[in-house]
Amino acid sequence: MSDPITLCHHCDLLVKLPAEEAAQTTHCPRCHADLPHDLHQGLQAPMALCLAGCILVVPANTLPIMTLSILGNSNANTMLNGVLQLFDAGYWWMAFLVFLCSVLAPVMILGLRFAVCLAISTGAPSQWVVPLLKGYQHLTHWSSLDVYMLGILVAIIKLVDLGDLVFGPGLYSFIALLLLSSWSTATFNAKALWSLVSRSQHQGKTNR
Amino acid sequence: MKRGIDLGLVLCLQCHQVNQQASANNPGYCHRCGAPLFQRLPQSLSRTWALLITAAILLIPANLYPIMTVVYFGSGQPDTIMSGVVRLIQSGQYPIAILVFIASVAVPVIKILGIAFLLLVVQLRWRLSPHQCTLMYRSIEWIGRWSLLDLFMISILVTLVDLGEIATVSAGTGSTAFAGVVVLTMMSVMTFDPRLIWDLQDTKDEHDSN
Ligand SMILES: [Zn+2]
Ligand SMILES: [Zn+2]
Repeated sequence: MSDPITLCHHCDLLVKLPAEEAAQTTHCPRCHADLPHDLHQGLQAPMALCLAGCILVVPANTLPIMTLSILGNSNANTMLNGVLQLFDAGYWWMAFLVFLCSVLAPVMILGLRFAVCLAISTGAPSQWVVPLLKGYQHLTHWSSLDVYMLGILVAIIKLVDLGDLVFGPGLYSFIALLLLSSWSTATFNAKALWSLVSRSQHQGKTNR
Repeated sequence: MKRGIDLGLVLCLQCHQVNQQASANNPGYCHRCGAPLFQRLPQSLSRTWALLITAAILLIPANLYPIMTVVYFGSGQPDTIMSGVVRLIQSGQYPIAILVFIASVAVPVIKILGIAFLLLVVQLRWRLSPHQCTLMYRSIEWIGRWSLLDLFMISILVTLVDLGEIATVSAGTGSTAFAGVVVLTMMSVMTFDPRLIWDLQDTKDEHDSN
């Protein structure tokens, strides 16, 4: 049992947390913020989902998302090509932002989640787990696969009158990656893992 | 209704650990993850203002310079965000026109005005419902990433529509400024501390009870 109390991150109210089993989600009684709960759902599910996601990243980023043909000329795009083309055209800053939000942050999030779960399940010292979890939390602000999906949809609607559009394997891999990464978000509870870190820190102290 | 700040407790924003303050004036470091602790984000108001003003200034080139040029069979001219939306309306694609307008024009402006409003609420101690203000903060936090839509769309179009003489799409200077607006507004949401909104009410209660 870690904290029977917490502080609301949006209004600093002292909140008594209900018993661990009962609390799926807790809300701040004053400002109704979602308070992170401690319910630990096991490490296997997030590990499997993140590993599958990490593998899917490769086809999603490198295989053609769609192909546009006009009058016999055709051209395909991949997620990485879009970034590279912007970079070549001199839009470094924009290329970096697109790369960060659509490729780097989503991949790093999956990879770091996997690494955190692996480190905890193998009993790695907490000094290793802490920077991984911290890095993970910084990246969560930037991952925007859902927005990218909407970008693909808008691009499709814009181009559909221009020529023939054929969807490629990259699009299906991307959709699968989007679903897997949202599913892994649902199974990965950072606060519960922080509590496990606390527990291993206490054990480390008593063993010494 | 007790607040952490009144009880000498500090929440670590990195790992959600509730810590005892090290001393009266110095919250110290989180005993679980070692991150420095703050009762409220340091210089939240001035940092947020700085990011917000820079974003507002960048919004001007983002809208004046073209973000994208579509050349189709030799004809086509650079489009700014607004002229792109107008072109979509002219070609009858109303749903996307509305979508692009919301993501690229409305969201950045609403975010900048919204955060500026919250900053003023805190600084001028306006007596508004903290519930409404927090709701506003959370909505702004949520819509932030959706402004990336136009940038993602450009990165998809530049590679896909690269057919030499027939059709090409290239990015424009405005897109760099627009990317700056997106990042700066997202960062200003992160530097603003919503607990300041509630502090107004809490300090007012103290005055009333005294
Ligand atoms: Zn609250
Ligand atoms: Zn901490």
